[in-house]
Parts: sequence; structure tokens; C-alpha cells
Amino acid sequence: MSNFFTDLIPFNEGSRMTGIWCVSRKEEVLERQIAAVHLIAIPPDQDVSLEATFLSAFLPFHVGGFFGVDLESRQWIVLVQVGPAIEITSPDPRERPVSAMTVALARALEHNPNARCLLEFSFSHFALIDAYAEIDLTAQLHTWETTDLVRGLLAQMCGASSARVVVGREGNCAFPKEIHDCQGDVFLDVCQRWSSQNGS
Amino acid sequence: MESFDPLDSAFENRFRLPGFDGAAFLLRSLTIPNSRPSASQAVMAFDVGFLSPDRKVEYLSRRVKVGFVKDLAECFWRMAQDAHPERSVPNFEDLEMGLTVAAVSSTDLSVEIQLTIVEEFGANVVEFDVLNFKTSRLALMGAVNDLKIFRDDWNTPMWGGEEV
Repeated sequence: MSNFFTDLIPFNEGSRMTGIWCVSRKEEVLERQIAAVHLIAIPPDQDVSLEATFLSAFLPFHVGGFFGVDLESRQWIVLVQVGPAIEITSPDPRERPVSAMTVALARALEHNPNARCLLEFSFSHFALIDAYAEIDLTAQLHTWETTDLVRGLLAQMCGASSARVVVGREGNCAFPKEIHDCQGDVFLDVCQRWSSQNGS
Repeated sequence: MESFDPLDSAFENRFRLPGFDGAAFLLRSLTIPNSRPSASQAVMAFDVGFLSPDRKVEYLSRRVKVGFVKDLAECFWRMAQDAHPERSVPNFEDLEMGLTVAAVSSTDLSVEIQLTIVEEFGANVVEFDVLNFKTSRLALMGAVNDLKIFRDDWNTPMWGGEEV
């Protein structure tokens, strides 16, 4: 199924997701936020689900992510962070709006020297809104925090439609007409259901 | 002349047992002078690291007992394999290093372990540093294999416990 992340990241053919998570809703911040997406390669002899939580623990801006494996047993993690956009004040090309989160990831990877960062993407708040452009509820997205825009895109990885996510956010529930272990948060509901159904 | 970095030839001598949520037990081997009466001029020692998201502490150049690596690997193996390692696996102890490793609880997929290390030998009041974390049985199995990295360290068969 095509969605924002599968369109963005050149996963190897046959790659499948084996786990996904996102954090609880965060307090709204007023400063300009930017999202950073990193693809991390994990050695085949490591426990990818454990390494996902391990690395995330060292990322103060992390919002969520997902992990999986390809047909040749190459494991990967996609980590998503949302943090303050750094104002560029010097001509140094290493200074970028996403630098705060890149530095955090570099620090985290020092604690797993065999993991490697393969790719990095960054998105502004408005670029994330555009990622939902295919639905008629886009106008509501302009009231969302950046972290919720990201969490909504992660929910798409679980097969949840953007419409369900946008509507469900209002009621803090993804499945209001079903008996389920409600997490009180549409994004957590979607991730929790996917994990339950996939033995994650 | 080709550039040469002498450190390029340094063998890999680091070990890492990670836990969920950012904890890890770290080892790095080195050789130190043998300060005790012995036929050997040098012995193997380890830097021991306790890592968690809010701190990283290292205890450097800790000597170890004969068979340290082998016994630690066996401990991890049993923790990974036993249904209830907190009941069935004896604590690992190395008095030379001041380290104890114990299984505290377990599930089908994970084991909670507790590592305790003497902070300073010879102190008037012996204090201990403790690191508790949950890791996966899969990671423990990986650790058994990863400990083999110390096997042929400078021709020191730690599995057999001989000194350099």
C-alpha cells in the first residue's frame, strides 16, 4: 500500500514492517517546528525492536517510528523526530534547520556503533500538511501541532486512512463504534491495534 | 607514501549488551601490567560501562578472574534459555572485577537483569553502582556470541582462562 513513508523511503523490494510506535500527544509549542526522518540500518544479529527503543531513548525530540526487515534479512529502523527549526546564522553547510535532531541522532548512534544512518529527510510544518493533500479535510490540519501531523502519517503505515485519523483525533479515539482497548488517542489506538494484530 | 593509521589495525575489542529504553552493559578489553607475583608480565583487563539515558559511567582497567568471559557467556546463555532464569540461574560473580550479574524477572521474550559493581576497591566504605534493565532473550543470545570477540584477544584464550 502506498503512503507518505513508503513513497518517501526507497525500501528494498520485499521489505516488510514488523513494528511501529508513536509517543503520546505532546504539549503544543509555538516556535517553528521541523520534522526529521532518518533511516537506520541495523545489523542482522541485533534485535531490531529492542534497538528501536534503545536509540529512541537518546532522542529527546523523537515522536515515533517503525522498523522492519527485507528479503535478505537486512533490518532497518525509521526514526521520526520533531523539534525546533534551527535558524541558520552562518554559511557553514553543516548548519541546517534540522541540526538539533541530527546531532541527537549522532549521539544516540555512538551507543550502537554497528548501526548506520543511511538517509535523512526533513519537512516543514506546511510540507507535512501537504502530505495529506489528497483528502478534503486538509483545512482542519492547519490547527494541528507538527507532532500530530507526523503521528497521523505514521498511522497511515498501519493502514489507517487519513480520514479516520482526522475524524478520530477530535474524539481521541480511532474506533468509537468498536469494543477495543482504547488508548485515549487516535494515533496510539491505531498503532496499538496494528501491533496486536501483527504480534508485535 | 600511502597514509597509514596505526589504529586501523587495532582489533575489535568492544562488547555491548543493550536493553530496552536506552540501557546497556559495556565491556572493552585491554592488557595491563601484571602487578602481582606471576610468571606473566601482563594480564587482560576490562573497562566496564553502565549506560542509561541519563548517565554513562565507566570503571576502567578492572582485572578479571580466570575464565571470566566463558563464565559470563554461560550465564547469559542460561538467562536466555531458561524459562525462569530468576529462579534457575545462579548469580554471576567476579570478585576480581567486583561485578555481579543476576536475573531479576523474566517473560517469554525478555529478561530483567541487575548488574552490580564495586565502585572503588579499597575504600573504607564499599559502595556499589547498580544498573537494572530489561533486555530481550534474543539480545542475550547475541551477547553469548559477541563475547567470543575476546577469545583470541592477543592470543589470550579467556575461555580457557590463561593469562597472556
